[in-house]
Amino acid sequence: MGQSTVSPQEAQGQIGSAAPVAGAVPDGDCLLSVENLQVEFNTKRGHFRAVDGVSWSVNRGETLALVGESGCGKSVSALSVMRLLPRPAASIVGGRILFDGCDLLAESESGMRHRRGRDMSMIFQDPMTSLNPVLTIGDQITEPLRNHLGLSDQQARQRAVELLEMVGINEMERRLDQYPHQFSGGMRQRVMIAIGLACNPRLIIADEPTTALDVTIQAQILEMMRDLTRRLGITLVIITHNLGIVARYADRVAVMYAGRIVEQGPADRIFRAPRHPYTRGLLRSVPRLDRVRGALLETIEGYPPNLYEKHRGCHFAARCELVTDLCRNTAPSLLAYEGHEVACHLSDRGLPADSKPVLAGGERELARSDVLLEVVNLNKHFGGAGKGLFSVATALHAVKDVSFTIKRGETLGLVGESGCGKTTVGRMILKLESASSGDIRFDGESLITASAARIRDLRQRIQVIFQDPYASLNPRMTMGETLLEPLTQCLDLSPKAAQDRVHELIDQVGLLRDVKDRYPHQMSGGQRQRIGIARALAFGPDLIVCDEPVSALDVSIQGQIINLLAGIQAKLGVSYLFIAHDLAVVRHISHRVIVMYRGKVVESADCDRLYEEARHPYTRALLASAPVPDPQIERARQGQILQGEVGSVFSSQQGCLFANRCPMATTECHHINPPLEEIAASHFAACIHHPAVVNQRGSAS
Amino acid sequence: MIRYALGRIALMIPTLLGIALITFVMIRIVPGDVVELKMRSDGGRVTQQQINDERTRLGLDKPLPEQFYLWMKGLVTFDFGNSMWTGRPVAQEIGGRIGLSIQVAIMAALVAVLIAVPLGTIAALFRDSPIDYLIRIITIAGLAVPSFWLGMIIILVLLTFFKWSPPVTYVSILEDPVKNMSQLIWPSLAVGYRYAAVVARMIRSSIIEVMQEDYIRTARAKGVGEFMVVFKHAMRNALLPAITIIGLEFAFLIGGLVVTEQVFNLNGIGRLFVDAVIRNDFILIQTIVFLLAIIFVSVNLVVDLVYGFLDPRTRM
Repeated sequence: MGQSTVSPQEAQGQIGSAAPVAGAVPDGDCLLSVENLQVEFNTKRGHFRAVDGVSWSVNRGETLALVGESGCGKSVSALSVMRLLPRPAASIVGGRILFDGCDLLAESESGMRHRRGRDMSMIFQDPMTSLNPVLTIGDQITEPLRNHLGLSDQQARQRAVELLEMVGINEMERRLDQYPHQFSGGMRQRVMIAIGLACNPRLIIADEPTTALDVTIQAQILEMMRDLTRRLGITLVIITHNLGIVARYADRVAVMYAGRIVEQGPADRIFRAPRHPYTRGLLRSVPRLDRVRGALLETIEGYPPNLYEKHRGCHFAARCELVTDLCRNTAPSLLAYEGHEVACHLSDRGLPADSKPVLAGGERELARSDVLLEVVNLNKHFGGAGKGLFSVATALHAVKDVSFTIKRGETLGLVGESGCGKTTVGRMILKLESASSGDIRFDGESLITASAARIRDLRQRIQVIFQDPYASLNPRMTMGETLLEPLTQCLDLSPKAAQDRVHELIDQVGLLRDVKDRYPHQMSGGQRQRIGIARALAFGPDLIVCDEPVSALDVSIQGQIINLLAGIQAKLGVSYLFIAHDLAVVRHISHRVIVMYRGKVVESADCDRLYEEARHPYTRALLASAPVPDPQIERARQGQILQGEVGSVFSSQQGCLFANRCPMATTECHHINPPLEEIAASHFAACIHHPAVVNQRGSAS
Repeated sequence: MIRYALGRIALMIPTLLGIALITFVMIRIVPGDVVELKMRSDGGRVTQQQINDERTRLGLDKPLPEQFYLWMKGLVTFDFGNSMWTGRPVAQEIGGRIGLSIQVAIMAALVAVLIAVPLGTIAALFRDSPIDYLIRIITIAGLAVPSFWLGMIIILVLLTFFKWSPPVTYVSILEDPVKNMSQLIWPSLAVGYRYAAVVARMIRSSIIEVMQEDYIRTARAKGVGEFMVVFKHAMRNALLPAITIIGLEFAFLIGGLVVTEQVFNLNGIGRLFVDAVIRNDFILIQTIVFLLAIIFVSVNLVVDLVYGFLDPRTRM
């Protein structure tokens, strides 16, 4: 970081006179420009270059989105701007970062400290861990005000009250004295934004600001951020992997892959006419709400390169379908091309037209006739921990009268936001949790009354795939051992037969057989999840409960896993209970979909019907909240943002549980508990106003 | 908070009752009793009749449940009985010595915390630097060196190099603070070193962990200076696990006094305890164990309350 100090004037002059680095195209009104940034990491595993000659810039008042998958260097390049890279592991080895003409890399540490929080703020991904648990919210918001602006405690508190009001938190005075654990995730992110806005910075960098939040809350937070930054004239850099968010909020986009920018330019152009095969693949592999089910998702095959190894050519070469020898040997530089910049040797050749791969045998229409799983009026109460010694325990009614059936070879999508009870339903079917009342019948046999020995047998036929493929694999066991264990322990296979079965399973999930000697930390997220699937398949189950199986994975990998699951179903006729919060993912794999809200089923229908003719206001709100990766659709859409939060699960509320957030709620709704009615053939909705809910999503469907 | 504390105090009763019962039974499983020891060791000829009379006088002939009941009844009414060996009231035997022991324990704890917090913090902040290695060597030595050995070395060093030995008779700190301190500082150091080593290592690892938390990055992103990042944002969080260790070790310390008091020739509760065990002085053993149990449980209660004070998440 030993660059010579460059005065603002000189720096401006340099940029103005000649563009020293391809890619940096600072206009006159450029606030921040990153030029040829290089960041290296030294870790125990070795040495790698996380950011390799990256240049991007953002103009005053503009919103730039840095897009890419995990490990592509988008967060690292943003943290470099704040000079907050983890030390001593990471070091900036080259490039310049010009903020309002000043080279931030030449700035002293104390100079940077004065800028952080005053000139530029950062909002981080996980609001649950980004606030200090032992300090009050008030203290945390006022800290930069007292540090940077020298406000007195009284003035700072006054300003904090204003800030909380700005970010939509009520009862400001009382809330200031509370601690982070007394806030919900969405509220904590609002607090983070309040901290970011405190000193009226010129730049806010938001690193995956809504990834940890529910869809409806995500929409609220993003709308609020956009309104506030526009109103206050703040320049915004959003880092995200969600192309829908980019389409809705960004003016300009920079797409990163394995430490380099592959394409950047105005959002409209990038979405309409992507020139880089990676951008193109990414856009195609996003599961979309506005695309019908049936076809396989397009995916980018393979995995991102291992940056610990040296790569001479284009980092994307190994996964690119257009790859040439030139790509393998020479890294392409970022060159201007029709209003935006692309780093691809073949950018002038054009990309092949959209092709829609379909599953061999066309639409998966298995004989979905006989019922495999029947859930009847399932309920679950959790005994809430009583406060203190003598108080009465409060019960949490997590699942309320849930009923559904799954046929053989069918996929049932179970959708809802966190805390809606969807995972608890899955756990009860797996008998990891006992039901409070109701019945679960598997292949005609009640799981509730079955003996423990019988349940052990049935467990082989009901398997599970978990959300976090890393946490659910034993770190001390190789993949081979993980897969072998159930085969030798429960099926009494001979070592030879078991070994063959392991190979068969590994083939089935599309991995190479040598993975069986690897440990979980030696594999990527997608590969681990494939092992998770192989393990679930080991017994040849009839039903697999998939609990958010792709939500921890990158977009291009998500598609691969969904296709794999669909292919396995087509081949083996296994049924899935597919639990997810992402409606778009569910649409791609499910035959029927159930939407849950606060423990109750609010709507259920055949898949396409639900997406086209949702009749419950909550389902509609969910659909409206999830942004679609297409700027035109997003711009055309009126803001239908669901207000409020889910609310306490402990409160025993009268009437419809959704009434307090529902845009259509009337007084009746607060008194009548709406029954789940069949409003059309096999389409159920629990809303007394369902006839009035008409399709308003015309533009997107 | 108060309700929580009351609840915890209520839960102490069954714990202490259990400890009392186990102690009571354990010392009576060992063959022999104080009467035989006292009379036979005198060397004189004793008749069985005399032994039986003495047992009756001490209440040792009563059935065990009744003995236990009488002891419990005594405890509740603060009548702890008389030592079976000296015949003096137990309260007096303990009362005269407990002050010294508690003072050594508290001073050792203070020494430990005063050394451990800065040492652990510095080691964490300069992780993997020569300073860190030095501190780690010092602390690992503290774990490896037994405190009685360290005590002997301290005395030897004082004698050989300074031609000085600490005073032998105990004076209360209220009477003569200088003399009191010059006697008790050495055992406190000897015991406190190990204590400091344990706590410093805990603080080091806990600061290292906390410094990687997201909220530390948030604090830096707000432009908080590095000093405040460590002392305001990291320290309070890092102290939470350390406090549990400080509490547990404090209780451990009281037990460890048995050895230390021998080395420094201090007439404290540890000494008394050893004598009581040698003499099979049931009443005295029981009462001391029970007292230590009360201290142990109370210290842990205090730790939990402090924890609640530092960590709002555990507050009711």
